[in-house]
Amino acid sequence: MKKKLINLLFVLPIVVLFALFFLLPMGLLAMRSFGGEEGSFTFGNYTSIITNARYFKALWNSLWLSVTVTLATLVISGVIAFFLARREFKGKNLYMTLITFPVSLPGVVVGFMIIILFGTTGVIPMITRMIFGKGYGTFAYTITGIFFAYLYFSIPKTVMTIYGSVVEFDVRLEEAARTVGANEQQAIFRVVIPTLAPVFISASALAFCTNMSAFGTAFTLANQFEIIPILMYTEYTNNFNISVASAMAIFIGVVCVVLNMVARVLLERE
Amino acid sequence: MQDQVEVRIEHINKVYPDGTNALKDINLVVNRGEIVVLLGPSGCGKSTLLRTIGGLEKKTSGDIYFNETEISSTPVEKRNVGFVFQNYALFPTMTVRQNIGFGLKLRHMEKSQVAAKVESLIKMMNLEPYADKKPSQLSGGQQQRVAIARVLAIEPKVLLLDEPLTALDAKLKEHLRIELAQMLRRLGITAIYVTHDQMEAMALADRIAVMHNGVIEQVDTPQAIYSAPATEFVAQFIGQINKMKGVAVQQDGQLMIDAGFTRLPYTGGREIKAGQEVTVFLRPEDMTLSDAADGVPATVEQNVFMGGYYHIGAKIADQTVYFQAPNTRRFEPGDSIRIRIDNEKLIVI
Amino acid sequence: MKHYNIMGKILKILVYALIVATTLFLIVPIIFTILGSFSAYWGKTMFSRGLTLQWYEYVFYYYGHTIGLTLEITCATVLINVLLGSMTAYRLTMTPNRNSKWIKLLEEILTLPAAIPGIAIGLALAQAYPDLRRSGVLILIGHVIFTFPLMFRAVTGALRAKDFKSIDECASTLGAGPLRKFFLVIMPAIRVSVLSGAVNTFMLSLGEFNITFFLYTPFIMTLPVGMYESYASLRIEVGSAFTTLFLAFAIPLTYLMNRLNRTKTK
Repeated sequence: MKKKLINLLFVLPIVVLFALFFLLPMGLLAMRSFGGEEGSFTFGNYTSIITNARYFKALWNSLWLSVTVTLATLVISGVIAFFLARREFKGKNLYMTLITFPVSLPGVVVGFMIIILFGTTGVIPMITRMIFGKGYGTFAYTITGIFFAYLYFSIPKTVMTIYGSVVEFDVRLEEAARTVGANEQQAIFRVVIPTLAPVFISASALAFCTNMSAFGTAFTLANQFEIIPILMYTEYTNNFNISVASAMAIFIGVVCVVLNMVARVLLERE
Repeated sequence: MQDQVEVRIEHINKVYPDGTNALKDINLVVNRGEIVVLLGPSGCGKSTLLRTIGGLEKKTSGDIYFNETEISSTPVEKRNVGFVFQNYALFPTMTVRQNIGFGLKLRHMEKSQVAAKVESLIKMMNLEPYADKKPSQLSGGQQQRVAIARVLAIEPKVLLLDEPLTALDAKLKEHLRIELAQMLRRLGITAIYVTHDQMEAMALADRIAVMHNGVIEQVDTPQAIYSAPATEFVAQFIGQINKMKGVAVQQDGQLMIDAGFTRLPYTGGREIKAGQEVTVFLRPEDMTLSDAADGVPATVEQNVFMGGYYHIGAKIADQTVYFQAPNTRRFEPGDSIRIRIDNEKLIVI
Repeated sequence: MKHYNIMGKILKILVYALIVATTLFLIVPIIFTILGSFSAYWGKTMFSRGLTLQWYEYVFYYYGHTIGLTLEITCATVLINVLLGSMTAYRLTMTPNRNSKWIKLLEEILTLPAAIPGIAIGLALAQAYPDLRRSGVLILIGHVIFTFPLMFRAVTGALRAKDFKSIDECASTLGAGPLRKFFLVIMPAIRVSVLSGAVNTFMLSLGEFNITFFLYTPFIMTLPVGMYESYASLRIEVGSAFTTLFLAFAIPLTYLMNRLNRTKTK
């Protein structure tokens, strides 16, 4: 009996913590998201994301931004990961540490990195001023800036994921393709990439949901450009529109949880 | 039958960047339509040699000829070799059909032609029930057939097989060994086959090249390798053998080998001086229990009952030999017995 | 054939260019942040007016309290999660019926915070416990919940890797009860994984912004929130000094984490 009690003690604290401070609040949030006028139940908050012009624009911006960043990240990270996985060179360890370091940076700092690069007194304008006499590339606070900021934290993470899989990839599959007549490029595109497709897709799914729910980065950079997370914050703090804000939070939450599950299923099938 | 190819390997050396010398001055000729087996323990360089011939590894020096063309600078995808991997390396995202047709699609063949060729290979390898399955759904033996079909599709000049049977269980191995041998002979393509399994080598090879530490110790027919090994390593690597010491002596103007229990004239071509120590090898099957007077006297040291026979260790004139005795008679250590030795079968190295 | 070679060469050059550009893109701002933090004036050129430490003084003066608070919260988060994460992972991995539906469901729920966006968690907590905001406890709780899956997964992975079930059973047969087993046998055996998980958790909590942003007050502010404020309202030099301060924590920790991960895979 005593043993059972002690065993329970191992798990009880976290269960209580989660119940009180995770499940309960999330449940409350979900409830509020269905709240309408005078406590009625409605889907209106969710549909307003599409029907309300401003909300829809933010949704559109979020989706469009996430898709383009995810695609660009996939291509760039794929190339880099392949290159790193197939070559040995001095200082490779150092290089890999360097290039994956940004993963540990909070979103706001990434925003600042973009300001450093593309702000009015940024590095790129400084360089172009020295070469061309005029400062180009001061787009930190525009959508281009946000795009690059999202790239900044998506690329290192995706490189890490893809690199791990490429390194474990059975080289003999590639060799088999070569012996029946495929050159290097054909072997990569017809055999390696299709075989690694689940990894690419799950890495993309994870990158997509990180991009959709990124807040600090855009908040640091966005002035007039609205995306769902920022809209949610605005509705909450400025307009006290708790129901709509909750609906948006739940919406993004569900999207992310689903994508996470997709990613996990794909990887487990390997 | 397509044009058969002769493979000539001349003075091939391969040294790895860290200094290991994997292949040391390899010379080998594989005749048109011949099956040569590279046999040796792990690490002897047989797979490295095979991969170098196939273009998956780069040689450090030397030449490789397919007929009259030197191909060691040709990229692997242009060499048209059929390489069968130990783990088959089937493309996991493609069906059997697509795996087999892969090489043909790369050659921009007409779709209908590809389909026809793939179909004929599927029939030939008895893969009809699995044609649209993925490799993960196939057994080891089935995967192996697909791997072979895949290389046959491109009508290779040379077949290179890297331990294709090693991954299978014993019973399947026995069965496929024979099938593979028949198929290779029927196809008539020049083939180089790598294995560490002697039985495979004996069953499949027209000639065996025994390799050890990056060097080819002997190239010969299986029978010659077995009964006339050229080096100590080959003698001891193949089958069971007894190793004894002998000494060269001059007798009546002739060079004889004294093995303690017998003397025989030396017929080998080596430069041996009188008084030089030599090794004398004898296979267990060339020793039989005998009561006749021409048997050599020996004392039983150990005997182990193995069911169908006794495994006997006996001492003959200071040397210990092992052989098999029928299970009809019981032995005790210390027993005196007589063994008949066929002097013709003694191997002197 | 020649056609292919030229294409191949161009492709190779493009690939190299992409890699170089990306590397510079990622590294250059970090370098300039650190350098710029010492510049007296960041105008057309960086060090036009000399070097100074004044920005750091500025940061310490206005945001010094965030450093202390952040470290408190982060250390507490790490300690709590090392304990709770390992305990829970241990108990759940060692249960006899590992495949029961309930256990799987519990594991799913316990790792859910990693999948849910921080803003949703932050909003939910702010809404549910508005009174706890003032004390800053809510921030700590948010951090614990958010980083728990990481520690949990790390320990679960370590326990599953070496089939600790047999070791656990062996310890039982030798007479050890659950607490003794946990502290004397299991934890020492997986200490590298626990340590690496702890460092990972530390970094995650240190840089956490999304949740904290919904829960902070002007008196209870963490490092990332402070940094955000400096970016939004203050000069770029202050921002870079503040960021450099953060990097002073992050870079050594990342290095430590990599070293630990490398010993783990050995």
